[in-house]
Amino acid sequence: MKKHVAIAITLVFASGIFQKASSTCGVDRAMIHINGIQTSRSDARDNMRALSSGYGPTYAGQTITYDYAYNNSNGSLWSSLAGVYFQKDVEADPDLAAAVAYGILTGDTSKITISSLQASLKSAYQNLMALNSTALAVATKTQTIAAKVNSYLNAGTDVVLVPHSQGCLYANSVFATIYSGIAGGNTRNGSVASSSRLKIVAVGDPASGVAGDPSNTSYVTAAEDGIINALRVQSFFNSWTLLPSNVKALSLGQDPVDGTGHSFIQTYINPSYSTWPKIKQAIDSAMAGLQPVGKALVSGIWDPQATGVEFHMLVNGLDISSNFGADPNLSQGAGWANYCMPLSPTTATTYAPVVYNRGSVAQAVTVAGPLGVQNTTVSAQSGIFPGMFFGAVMLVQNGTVSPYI
Amino acid sequence: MIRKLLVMVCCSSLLFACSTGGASAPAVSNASSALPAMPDRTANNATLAGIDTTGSGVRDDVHRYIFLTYTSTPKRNAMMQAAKAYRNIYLNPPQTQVAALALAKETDRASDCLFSYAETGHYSMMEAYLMARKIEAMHADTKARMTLYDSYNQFLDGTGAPLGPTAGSCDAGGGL
Repeated sequence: MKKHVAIAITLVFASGIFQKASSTCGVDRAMIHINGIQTSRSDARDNMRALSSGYGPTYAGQTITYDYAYNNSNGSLWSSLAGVYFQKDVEADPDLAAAVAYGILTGDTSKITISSLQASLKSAYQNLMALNSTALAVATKTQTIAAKVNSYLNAGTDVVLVPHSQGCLYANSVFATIYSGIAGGNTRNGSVASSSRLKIVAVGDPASGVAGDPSNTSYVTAAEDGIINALRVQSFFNSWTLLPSNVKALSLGQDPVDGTGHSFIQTYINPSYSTWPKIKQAIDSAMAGLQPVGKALVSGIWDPQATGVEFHMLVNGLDISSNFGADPNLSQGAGWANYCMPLSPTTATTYAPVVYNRGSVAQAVTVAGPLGVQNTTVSAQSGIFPGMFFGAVMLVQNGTVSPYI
Repeated sequence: MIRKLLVMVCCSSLLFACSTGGASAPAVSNASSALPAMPDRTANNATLAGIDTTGSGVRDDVHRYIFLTYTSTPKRNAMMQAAKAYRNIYLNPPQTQVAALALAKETDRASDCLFSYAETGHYSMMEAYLMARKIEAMHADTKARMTLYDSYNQFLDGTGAPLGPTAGSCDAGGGL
């Protein structure tokens, strides 16, 4: 005998959280850029625009969302340099003024012949990149960037961070912040356990390791990178080390485009240089290493053959309705929309209730579970129809969904 | 020496512009005949936003640079849009992150416009990037302007958003 289960589904229709899907959940990926020092926000955004054009909109047919987290580590460096170098004679000469402004904004000294400005820029670079791991780990910005990354992970979208220069230190720190339960993470030695949901491909890397990559190979630093090489010299007098360069950017006879050999666009993702295919290969490898099991297709279907009102819930096609009293011989009735629910969020997330129909009382949906372990509990609780209650809790272990109650 | 270097850069830009102006390139604009006069440097530098006598929203000296440096319509249109967006930062110095983000929205559109032309083959991505940096630097060309631009960027620390498509980012009349 069928039990008449009256329910109202309360899944939220939050934009970007639950995406409708016809039969299976698509896999989405995000690539997030964190820029280095001496970079304006416009420059950082253009970095990502150029990277998106170079890498393309998809990986293995899956859509990539390109995003960036602007890292303004300059403090008042630009203002300070302007105070020194924008003297009256410079300001009076439009060409010279524009060249000095370009040098200050980009750190590229190739178009400036003022030796003291070149020295100041190099010194500023090294000082800013020598920030110690403690300073970065507690920095508000690390938390801000971690929150951005978490928002993707919580929505079931796996992430590849592509940081440049000092952004690599922040990326390591962000990784350690998200995986704070995993020992060993800091900004310079990122040898923490790997993740199947978050990868780093470091570019022009001043760190001594790549977080989440015990092999410390997921980075590209050019032998011609003048900033990293200068930092390497400085590191002899400090307690930290840098990863060795692992590619020669220029072929025989090629000239560098930017004066430092450090520019993200002009050197590293320049399609004319050997750095770009190596970066592309590293991103391919990171993408392949992601194990996107972050979503399950949750479907609700009303059974029209039931005497009363009967509802079935399916997770990735598995009817779990019998666990709460509905019969298993589902007939496909009027369908309720399918939703792709994130199953491995980094933090517990409770979504506000929405009344589906039938005038029932709405309740919330909670998705909780530790990241990486992929052992996640999803509870989708319905409201109360007169005298009846419906509820379901699903346990997801290693990507396999099973009824919990 | 610096002047020589800049002349070389400008010359190479012109050469590149000519070399990319194939049969499919948009017509060359003749608007240079209506260029504003070069403003007095001292007067132009007396304010953050500089002098705009044409009402185009673009500083006169920058306006002249764009039309005298670039010969193709896509480059001129995209650079004028970018120049207008950057000048707005100096015209309306932001005091909050919200205000800075509103201004950044326009520079983002202008940058997307520059890259949209690159995506459709009018010039290279590298050239789009360098044009963006050039117009950005031209607006930060005094101590006061650089200080403001520094402040503006500090307001934007930690921000960022997913990139949308570049299509439709050019102002009316500037699109392909």
